[in-house]
Amino acid sequence: MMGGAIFFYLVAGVTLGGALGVVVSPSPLYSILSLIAAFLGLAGLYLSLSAEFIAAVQVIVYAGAIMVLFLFVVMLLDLGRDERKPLRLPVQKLFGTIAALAVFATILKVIESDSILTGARGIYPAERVSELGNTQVVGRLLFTEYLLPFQAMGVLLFVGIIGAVVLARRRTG
Amino acid sequence: MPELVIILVKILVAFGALILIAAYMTWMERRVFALVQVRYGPNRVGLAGLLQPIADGIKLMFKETIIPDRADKFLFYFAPAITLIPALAAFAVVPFGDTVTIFGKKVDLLIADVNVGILYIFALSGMGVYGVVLGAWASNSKYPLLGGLRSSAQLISYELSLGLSLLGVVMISGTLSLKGIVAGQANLPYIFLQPVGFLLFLVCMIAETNRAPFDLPEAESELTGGFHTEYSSMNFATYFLAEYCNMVTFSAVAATFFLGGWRGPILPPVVWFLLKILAFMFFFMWLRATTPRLRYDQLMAFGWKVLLPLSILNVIATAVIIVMFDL
Repeated sequence: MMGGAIFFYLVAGVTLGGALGVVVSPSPLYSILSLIAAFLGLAGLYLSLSAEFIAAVQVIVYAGAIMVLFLFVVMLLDLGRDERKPLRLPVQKLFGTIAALAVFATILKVIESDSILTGARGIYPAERVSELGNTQVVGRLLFTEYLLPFQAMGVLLFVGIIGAVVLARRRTG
Repeated sequence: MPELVIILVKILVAFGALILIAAYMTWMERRVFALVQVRYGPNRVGLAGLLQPIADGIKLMFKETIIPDRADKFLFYFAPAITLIPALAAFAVVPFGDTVTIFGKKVDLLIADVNVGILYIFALSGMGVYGVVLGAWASNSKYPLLGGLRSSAQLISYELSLGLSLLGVVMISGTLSLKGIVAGQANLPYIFLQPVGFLLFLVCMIAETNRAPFDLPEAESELTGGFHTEYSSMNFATYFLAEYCNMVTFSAVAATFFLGGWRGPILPPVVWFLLKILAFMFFFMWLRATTPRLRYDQLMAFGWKVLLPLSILNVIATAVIIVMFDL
């Protein structure tokens, strides 16, 4: 159990450090690198919950595919010094603070909730998942209990693809 | 404690072998190239030039590291490592032999039997792109930047087909673990059940490792050296080593998925595995020596308009056959 705890603090540290780095780094490129580190840390957290499938997908989709596109854009833009000046957004800061507090309150509420205090387990605790095979569990749930949301996400992504094609075509005429 | 020792020994042996093979592949490549072009190739250092990779390594170590003015120094040093680490780590899930008994202990000849093995390899190969892109950006120079952009576009485009080409095998074997996939090929290698998948994987593998005819990121005739134009000394050697490690790892994955991994008659499993890797490596070299480079737009069109539809079709056809014949 000792090793598990060390691993948790390590990846939690990487996740938080990365998240902090996104906000404070002066260069947008280093912000992206910090975000990649945060995603990798998050994948580590999934691993410690023996959700290997989610961890691998997290790295492939977020740390791999999506962040490469971010990097691509930042490299192409190559922001000058003027654009790097911090923005002054008083209204956004106010709403941002409120949203952050709301999320924080929600997390506190969950921590205080019965299931954590009483130690009651969900339907799929880590042991059961590793027994059934975590890829199989995710697949089965996606195509049974969560079929409708899954299909809705598919439609959403499809609309996104079509939108991207339409936008890209308009420029070339 | 003995378990920990066994794991450490396995890691040391496997990675030592991987780096050694990768280094010797540079020698083999130059010899094969020379044969194709009716030359001798490096044959002076040691027997048949066998000490050439070591001489090259020592030479590169003693070279001066040149950093371009106004380069991002931290990333410039760090980027080659980002390419090398995933190339080495991906090998951890590839089984290179059957379970053997050493000193009365059963030892699996693979470092880690991850139950999402193939996704692990994809995740790491996706990370390798960053080394190329960041190195290109950190150099603060035009040729590397263009090479880096091409590279990221190419890798994203071919990664999709790469993943889909293996999906057929995963559907037949019903597991993502590489150990399970080798176990499923006891009677028949999957190349006979998934011939289209094999060909698709072969093409994508060449594109993912940036090899000719898909070596656009380092097209020397138009981009000097591509993303590593500004690199010298050990930093350059790291990129070079990463490229060859990647080739060896992808060869090993191809052998595991389609040729039955370490399985084979008479010879010991590890020897069979090495032979299969060597066959793929020879294919890489043969291809580079005999094919002209694709144009960039041809490369992208081929990836999106030919490979991707074909690999989706292969997945659908496999699914239909599995369900219809209740396999």
